[in-house]
Amino acid sequence: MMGRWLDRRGAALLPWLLPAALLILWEAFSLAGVLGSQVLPAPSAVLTAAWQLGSSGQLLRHVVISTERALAGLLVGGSIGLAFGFLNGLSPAAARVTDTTLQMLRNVPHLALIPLVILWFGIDESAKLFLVALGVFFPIYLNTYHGVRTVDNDLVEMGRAYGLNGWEFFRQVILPGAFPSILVGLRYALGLMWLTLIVAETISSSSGIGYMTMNAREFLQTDVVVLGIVIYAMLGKLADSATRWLERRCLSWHPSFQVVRVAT
Amino acid sequence: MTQMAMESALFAALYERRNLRERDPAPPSARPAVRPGAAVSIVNLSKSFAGRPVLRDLSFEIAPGEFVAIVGRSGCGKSTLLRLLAGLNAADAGDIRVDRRPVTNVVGEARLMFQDPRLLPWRRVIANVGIGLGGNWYYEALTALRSVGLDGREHDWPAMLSGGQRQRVALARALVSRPKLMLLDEPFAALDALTRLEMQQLIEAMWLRQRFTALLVTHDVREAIGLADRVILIEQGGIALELAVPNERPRTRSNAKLAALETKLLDRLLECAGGDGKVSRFTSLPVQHPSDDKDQSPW
Ligand SMILES: Nc1ncnc2c1ncn2[C@@H]1O[C@H](COP(=O)(O)OP(=O)(O)OP(=O)(O)O)[C@@H](O)[C@H]1O
Ligand SMILES: [Mg+2]
Repeated sequence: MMGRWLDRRGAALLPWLLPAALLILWEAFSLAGVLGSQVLPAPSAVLTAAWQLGSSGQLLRHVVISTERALAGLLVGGSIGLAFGFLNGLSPAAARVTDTTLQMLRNVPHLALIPLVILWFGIDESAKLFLVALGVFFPIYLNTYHGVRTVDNDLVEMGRAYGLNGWEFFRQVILPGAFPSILVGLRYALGLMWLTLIVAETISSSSGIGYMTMNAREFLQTDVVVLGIVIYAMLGKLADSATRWLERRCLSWHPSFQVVRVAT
Repeated sequence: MTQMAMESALFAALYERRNLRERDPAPPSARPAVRPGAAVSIVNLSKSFAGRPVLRDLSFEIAPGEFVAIVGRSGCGKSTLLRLLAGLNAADAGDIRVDRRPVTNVVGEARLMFQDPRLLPWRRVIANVGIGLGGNWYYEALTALRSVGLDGREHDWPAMLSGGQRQRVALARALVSRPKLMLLDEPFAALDALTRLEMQQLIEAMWLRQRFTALLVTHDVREAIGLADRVILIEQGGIALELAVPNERPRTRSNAKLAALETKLLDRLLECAGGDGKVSRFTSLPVQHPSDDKDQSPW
């Protein structure tokens, strides 16, 4: 019993072994003076910075603001992407009208629009919202569209033959059929969401983690810069875990998830 | 308790509650157990795909409650015929009526059982059976599942069932709405011999009990003769042969009359497979000479 418990604990800890070793090595090099604190501060220094900024409430404020921006952008861009994806997937006529245009726009790197966006919106919230929304729109749109188009035709026919139509047809056949693909889109979108936000915040902002990092750079606070990077990484990981959770919840019917279910 | 276990317990509890709620009122008697089957009439039906005729001037009738089997070579348009009857496709010309009403769209009274189960993989077995039903769906779906011998599997995902079990779920799904016309498109084709036999008996039992009109498409001549009141052979888009089967049930495999019919049907099928199949294709429908079937056979 005890042995198995330890085994399981061990298995859970295994992926963290390498990062922990690297951290210890990093700390050791910093202590030995091989790594200058201006180049790369020791992990302990980053932790201290986190503690100081955290206890003053500043860190939390920046994190909350960045998260709010990210989620707002995701909500706006994601909803529009979903709407267009479903519309074009279900209506060939709509696809003929809009898809080519959207495909063309997709090839413009959205970060290249930053100068234009600053001209349009200045540096206030709407500029960042616009950029993030634009960034998440395309992966969500493309994958939703693709997902709807590739719903098993046999099932579509079965649904019709068994009297499903309208909302019920959408809810029972199209949406779940397209869902795995939509989730893939969501995961891409989350990556782009943070990326866009970092760039937007470092260029034009007076709050948020990007601003915090840029500000720290001016005062040569390398520890705060590293802290900002670590926080971005953590938020990114959190978002990814959230989609994985969603995936497990919503795709429990999928054979590849049932294997897990049986094993536990 | 692990999270998985908790989730599934929660799920079971939710379903259980619905189950109780649905079950509390006495079993529904809204739908009568026996409804007369639908009469089907097909007149001069034609359908082509991309200029290639598949069905040509096809006409026949099915009496209410009759069990008709359709045989024919692969690609001769059997599935096409069923899809037209189910209202999934539109005919190019001709008239299809179910209970004297023209079929223009999907008919509520007809149910089509496909060549493959076509279960929604993201819905549990019970929800698959109850698809498109309202009201007391849970109870009815459960009853239908029981009638195909799958009680206890209602909360499984379709992926957890064997091929034969999935096809039985599909049968329950077709039966649950008590259709007046059952269209069966080779529902046993993918099953092993034993399961196949079981499914055939199951469908016959259901047909005897519910008295729907049944139209069964099959490759298997023995299956057609074993189940149907009448067998129709489709060839080059039209009816090549029509055989009435002596109506004795249950049918035994060793019945000499049935064996003779089987031979006749097989001979006719083989004749069209060999010989002049390619040349006379779509030029004219072969003239029927049921009596000299055997003489024309190249074997
Ligand atoms: N949607 C379609 N588009 C084009 N051609 C089609 C379509 N559906 C069927 N056909 C053609 O119509 C013919 C008849 O097809 P059908 O599926 O009805 O055959 P079948 O008799 O059911 O064959 P099987 O026994 O192999 O299932 C075939 O030649 C097929 O290629
Ligand atoms: Mg077919």
